[in-house]
Amino acid sequence: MVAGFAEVAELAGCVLAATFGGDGTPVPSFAVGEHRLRNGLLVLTLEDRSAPIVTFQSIWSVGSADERPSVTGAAHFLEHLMFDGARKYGPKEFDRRLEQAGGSSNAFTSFDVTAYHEEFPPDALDLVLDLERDRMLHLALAEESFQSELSTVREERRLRNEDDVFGAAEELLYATSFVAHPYQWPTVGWMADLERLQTDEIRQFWRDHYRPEHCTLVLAGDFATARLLPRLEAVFGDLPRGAATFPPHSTEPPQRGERRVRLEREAELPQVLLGWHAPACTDPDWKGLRLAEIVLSEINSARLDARLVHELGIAVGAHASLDETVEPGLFAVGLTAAPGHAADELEQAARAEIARLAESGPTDDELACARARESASALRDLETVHDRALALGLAQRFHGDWRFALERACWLDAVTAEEVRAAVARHLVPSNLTVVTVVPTPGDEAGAAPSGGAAR
Amino acid sequence: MNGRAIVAAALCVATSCAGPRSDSEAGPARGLALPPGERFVFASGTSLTIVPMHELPLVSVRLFVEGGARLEPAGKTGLSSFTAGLLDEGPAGMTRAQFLARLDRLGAEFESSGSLDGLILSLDFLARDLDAGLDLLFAAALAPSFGEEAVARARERTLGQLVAAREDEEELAREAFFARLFPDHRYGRPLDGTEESVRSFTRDEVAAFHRAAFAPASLRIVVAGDVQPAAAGLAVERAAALHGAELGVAMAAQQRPFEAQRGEPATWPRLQIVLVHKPEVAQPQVLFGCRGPGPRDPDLTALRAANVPFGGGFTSWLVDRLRVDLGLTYGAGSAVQPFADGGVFYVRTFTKSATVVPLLKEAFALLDRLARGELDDAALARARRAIVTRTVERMETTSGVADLVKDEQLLGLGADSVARLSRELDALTLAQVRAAVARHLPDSRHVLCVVVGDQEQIAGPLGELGDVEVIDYRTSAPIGVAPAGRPGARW
Repeated sequence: MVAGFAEVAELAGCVLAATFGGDGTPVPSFAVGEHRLRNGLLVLTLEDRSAPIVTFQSIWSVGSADERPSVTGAAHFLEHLMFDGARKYGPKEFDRRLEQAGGSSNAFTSFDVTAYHEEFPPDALDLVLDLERDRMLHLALAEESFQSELSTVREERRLRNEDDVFGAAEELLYATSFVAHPYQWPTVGWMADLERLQTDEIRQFWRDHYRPEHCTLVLAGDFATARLLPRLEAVFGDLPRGAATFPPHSTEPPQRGERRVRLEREAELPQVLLGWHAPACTDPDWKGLRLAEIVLSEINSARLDARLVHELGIAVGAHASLDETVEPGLFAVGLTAAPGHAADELEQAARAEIARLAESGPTDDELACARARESASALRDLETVHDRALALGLAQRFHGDWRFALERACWLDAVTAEEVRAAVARHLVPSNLTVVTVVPTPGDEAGAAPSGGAAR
Repeated sequence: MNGRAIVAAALCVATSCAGPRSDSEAGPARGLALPPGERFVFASGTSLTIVPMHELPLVSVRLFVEGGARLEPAGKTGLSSFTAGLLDEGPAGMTRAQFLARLDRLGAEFESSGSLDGLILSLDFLARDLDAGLDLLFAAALAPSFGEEAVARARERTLGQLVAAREDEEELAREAFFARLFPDHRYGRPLDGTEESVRSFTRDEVAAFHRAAFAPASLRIVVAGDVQPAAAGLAVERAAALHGAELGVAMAAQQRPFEAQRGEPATWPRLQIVLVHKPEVAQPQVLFGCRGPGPRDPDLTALRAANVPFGGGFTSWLVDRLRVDLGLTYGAGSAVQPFADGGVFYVRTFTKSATVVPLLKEAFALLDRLARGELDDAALARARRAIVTRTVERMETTSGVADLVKDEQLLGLGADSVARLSRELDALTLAQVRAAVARHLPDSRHVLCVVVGDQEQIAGPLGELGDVEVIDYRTSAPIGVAPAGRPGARW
């Protein structure tokens, strides 16, 4: 060995630490501050002075599930409009001021949440607080910006949900699986609604939902918490609470029988999307299904990839995904056929894998692998100030407690193989299933099998 | 999830700041630099870089060789990616399932891939498993079995993936763009090969390619994360020896001084429009630009700074005009991207068929504005800050740091690239930026422009801008040329 390897000093200044649980699972621990402003707005802080960067995130408990038919896409469209001017900072000023100060911003919307974030140097903190207060209190919604931004959102829809084969199939899967609950429409909205949305509808949606009781602010990074808190109280403590009350979302009735739908369109290869109704993320069965998802799709030796792509060679892609949603969502499996193989063949092979999991559950080794994967993923999701803040905010929204972001590293440790098997057997059953098959239109199907056959 | 993400400029700059802060809120500006690390070279020629990062118990390892696709023999386009893809089959004496399960017990994320400039194995895992992780990584890299059956299966799988990739219009645009910019260079051929080349790959060719590429003298290793350098160095030595590579004595690496290399500007001779015809595309992809400076060109930092106001953020000219003012697109961005042997400058955006031509006219006008040097000191100041902020963000993760060091080595940037970037940004003047733009970036009469869309919808309107060469999206074979001067015509 060479002397050089021994002559290195460690970095100083660590702000985070990881302890090890009873079975050796690393559990991150760091000093998150939880604060309530006088109007009830929840603020989480995580001071980390190791790099000159701050993230400000506002996590709103409003998403496309809070829309109504004919106004679909409102939550996501409003997210765009939040950058298009308010009383003090007019059109284009939000990003211009922020970028001038060396910062950047972005946002996203899902069924259940709208989240905004800015990352910036510490000396831009006052500016960011002022920008945020302005748009939270005095959003402009000017007609010119409104129409231009609506056009942009239509382009986004074309990109994600129309040109993209999988996006189009996924939209159809949710629209078919849900007949009552608002998860049935896409977050971006239906095109017909994006052609007719009105300013007043969006303004009302903003007034109803953008209230302090629906928001969690998360700040992480290079600031002094003691000096920050009075400033937050001064800037956001007087945001008025809302008066609107909302009826509960329609409960999805139990599905009683398999639903099947064909999507005939230009495509290179057949695709199949299977979706089973799955419980909300706080349901006890959700942990079992999460482990099933990891075993089927996330670990390196995942069953779907190993069986369909590598052993049988009938698919070029196979993956599973479980919705992490406030109300019951879907457990989906997406498959793309290899040239010369038919959709039926893929579907049967995937369903056989699900049946095997429902019959025998994961092996002990798979269970250990899945837990290790989740633990490492949870730690990786806490590496940057942005990721830490987002993990805390989303944990608060989806699990009702930001601590879940830290506990996630070991939260699957107690789940047994039998609990996984039972959850799969209970939920991933044919009567609960919807199948979307993408059928390439004649003349465009490059590599698919002849009708009715899979022979090469 | 939906969001307002835009097409981000793929700026490959990176810096970081290390050390605790004072209690001052804003604090004095600190110099940008990679976290302190150790660089060694073994007697075998293998290099090792170790960057300790102790915030979380994670580690990222990159084991790579330089050259990548450029090492492929004639007629074997894609052999590099193909070989890299086979490394997840695991070492001799172990099945693929056994190898992957061993990785899974570590909670590890593993990837082996080929790029234009390198063959790269990546492993991200818990630092407590350093020995076990390195063992598996070196096993995959140095002792692959390349069984006949596995190679045959990979061949079929790759052929299928080539078909599936035609679903991706952005990638179709990229291939057509690079094919014309680099007609006589490996960069101009598809990274993953063609149907013809992939069908020709044999087990012996794969093994020979691997043997030549992964010679000990070519190995580069980067370890970033919660490790002690001495222990990590020993662990690397042990793991390599376990799989037949005796690295020999390690010495502190002598840093070669960075040598700038000014290349000949290579703008495009004329406006050339290529339409990749794909039926029923609702939102055509647009990609235009020219060849750009290489990674050691002294103008690179100035061009990156110029790119920020032009197409590098939400307030860039491209986004401001095409998206915010006109609502023509969901995203638009530009980049100055160097490779080991050259580079590109490009603008990428997309819109519905009916507005491809209006969008191109607007984007061309902005490019002309850039070519005229219409930048000011405020834009330069903003660019400096944006590059610094993005760089700091990139340096927050072990994988980000490991990738940065890897890129630094693949591009021949020298070990002080971060500090050098910092110094260059501080010293950069508006005159230098304008001069670099004038030297390297084109106006709209000198770009290659690729559009992927349905010729029935857009070939005619595109004719308003010039001759349009139409090719098939599956075969790249010419379909015809739509002559210029027929605006609005159906074609």
